[in-house]
Amino acid sequence: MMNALVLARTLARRWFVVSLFLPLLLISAVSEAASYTLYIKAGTHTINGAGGTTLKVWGFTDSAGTGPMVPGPLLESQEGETVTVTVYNQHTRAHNFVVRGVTTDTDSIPAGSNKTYRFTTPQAGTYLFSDTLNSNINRAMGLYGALVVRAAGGVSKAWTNGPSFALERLWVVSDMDKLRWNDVAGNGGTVNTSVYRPNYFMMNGLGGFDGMHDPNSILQGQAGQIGLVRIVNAGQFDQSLHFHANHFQIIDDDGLRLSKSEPGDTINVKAGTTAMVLFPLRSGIYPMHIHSAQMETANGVYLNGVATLLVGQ
Amino acid sequence: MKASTMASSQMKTICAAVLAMALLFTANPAVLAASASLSPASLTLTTGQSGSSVFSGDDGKSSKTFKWSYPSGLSVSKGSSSNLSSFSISSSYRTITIKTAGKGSFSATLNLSSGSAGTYTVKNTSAGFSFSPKDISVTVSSTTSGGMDGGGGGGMGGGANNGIEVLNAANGVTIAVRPVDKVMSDGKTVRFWVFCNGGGGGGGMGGCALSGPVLELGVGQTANVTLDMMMAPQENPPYHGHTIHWHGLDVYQSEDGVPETGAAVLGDNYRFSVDNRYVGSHMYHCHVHTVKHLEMGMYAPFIVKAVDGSGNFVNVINSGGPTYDYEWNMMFSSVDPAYHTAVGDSAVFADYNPKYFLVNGNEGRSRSTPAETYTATPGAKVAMRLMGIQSVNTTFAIKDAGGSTKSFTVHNKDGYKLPSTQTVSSVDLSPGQTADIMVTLPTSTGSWYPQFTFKNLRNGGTYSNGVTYTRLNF
Repeated sequence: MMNALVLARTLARRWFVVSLFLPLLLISAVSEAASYTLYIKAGTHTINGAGGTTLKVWGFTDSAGTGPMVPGPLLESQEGETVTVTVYNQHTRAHNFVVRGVTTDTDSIPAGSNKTYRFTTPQAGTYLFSDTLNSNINRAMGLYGALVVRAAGGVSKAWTNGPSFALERLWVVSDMDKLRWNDVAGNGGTVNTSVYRPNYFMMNGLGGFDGMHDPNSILQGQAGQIGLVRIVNAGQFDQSLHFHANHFQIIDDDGLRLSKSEPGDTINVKAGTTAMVLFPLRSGIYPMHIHSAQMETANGVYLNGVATLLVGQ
Repeated sequence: MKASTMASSQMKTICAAVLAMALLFTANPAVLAASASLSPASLTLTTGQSGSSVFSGDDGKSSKTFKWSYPSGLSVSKGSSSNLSSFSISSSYRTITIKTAGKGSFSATLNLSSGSAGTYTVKNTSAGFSFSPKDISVTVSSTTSGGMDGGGGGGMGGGANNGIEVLNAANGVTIAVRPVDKVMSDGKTVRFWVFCNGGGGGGGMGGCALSGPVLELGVGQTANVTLDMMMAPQENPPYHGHTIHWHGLDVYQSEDGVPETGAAVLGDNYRFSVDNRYVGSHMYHCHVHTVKHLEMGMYAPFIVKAVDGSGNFVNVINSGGPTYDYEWNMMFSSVDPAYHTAVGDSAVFADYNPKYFLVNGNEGRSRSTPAETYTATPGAKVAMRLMGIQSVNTTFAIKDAGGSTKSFTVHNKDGYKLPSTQTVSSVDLSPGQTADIMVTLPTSTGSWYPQFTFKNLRNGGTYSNGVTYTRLNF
């Protein structure tokens, strides 16, 4: 009897608990697809090849046991979904997490604590997330990444009822001033933010020698296929990306969908902004690189800057 | 030689068919009697003196088009006219185009002059019906003494306006590379490497200048350009040699001029053709160790022109777009002198600190010392081709003599027609971008000042001495 009573009480309590959360569970089953845990850490980032170096960085990572990633982990979702991101600050300084144009909470996460952000993605597109604190120093140290929001249902369109594509790539481009920023902030010093003279320029965190071999960066497919290129400039310098082989169509200028896409072979993606272009692949192997002098280099070594390939078969 | 051979042989077949059709049409005799003449057909002038010749007649009440070309050194401008639907003179291309209005009698006055002694022929190149006389012979003798210096340079000054040579890329062009030392406004000398028209054979490369020669190519025609490396200044391996990359022309990999994807660096022959999407401004530049070679000055404009049924260039801003009377190429660049002396994989190339800001190879820090002065007639439609080979951001605007901003219309970006034209007061051009814009000049005389503002890539602040002017007189 006693046992039966206990069992009954337990069941009742459980049912009460379940009934309380049932509506929430139903709702979340519909709208909540993406959930991420990020960790903010100090560490190093290496650019390989001639001119390369190991930089002191601060970055996001998706594993408590690994060092920072530059850029941070890719966040993905579909139009209209709710995304949950829990950020653990495992660094000795305050940081934050802001998805540009999506979230508005810029309050800091104190060293050693964590915070959960929940947001509904407004429209399909490409977004920059970063730490916006500390006069751009935190972002410049490597605290950035991309949120890619795809059309509902995962269809291969830039957005619901938008232009179609056959393949897509994400290019997070950035720059770092090793001597005056990374070395100084990474050693606990005070950066003179009035001077910024970057000597490293990266494609998805890679120098060009790696960028031209990286399958996640190289836009490769059948000739005639349309590639959607999502460009995020997480750096401090505007970047002028020149495509060989073909003209592209700009379909999204920093979150603004263009009703009439504009043609170009070179696109200026300003620091901290995004763009999306459609590029029809041509048969052959062609480079894509930045057209401003030093940004083609790693500390002056040619082609180890922002570069990758456009390959049509 | 390579990939476009098949395309060009197909094109020849198509051209032959078009030609045959044109012959069929012209074989029909004119229904109405039409006649015209040029008078006088010969002029004798002294240097600096202006004379006129009148083209007049009756078009049989059917609109007809007539074209002439004229040599460098001769200046031609429009005088009075009647019953014409268009009357345009391109000083860049040294062509005169007259289209009658189909109202019967018509006339057009051509004003002719030259600063250099010599004999010049204004030669009829196409006509709506046959007429005579159809050419004008202009004999110019020196005034007193002095005059132009020497004459030995041999007309390398090019046209009436900007002094940069214009070459038809389909005519078999040979491009050489030569060092040129320029004394900058602060008195310092900077060494450039420039593309030169090396097709003259033999002697002097007298025409080598920054920027290199303008190459033009008609839609459907085949460019045939040879890069001749003989005597070219160059770096040591791995950055030895040079190439030509056809920036914006989307050519085959074999013609792309990129050493890392197989281009020859010790001289090459490039052949390609483009379709009518490309009518507008592009560029050509070296693609070897571009962080240095671009900076050294190895760049020049490449203009794709629409063509008529006979393959003649047509002065339209893009395929199906409006006509213009003048076209003015303005290629702009920035110069960090440290990049000119550094070689190889130097850390100098990690940090860009431009000191000079050029348009067509010249500084122009004030309106009174413009990088270049161009002359057009009042009321003319002027196409400006803006080509950015700089390594920093640039904002282009046009000011009048009072400093007010003049709006203009952007037709093309990166040599491609915009989905709709944009009438704006300024346009931003980042490294590697081009724009084709048009303005219609006031009907009274004056001057405008195109203005290029060079801005840093971090926060858009204007560089010290970072505003360069050119000047447009009308």
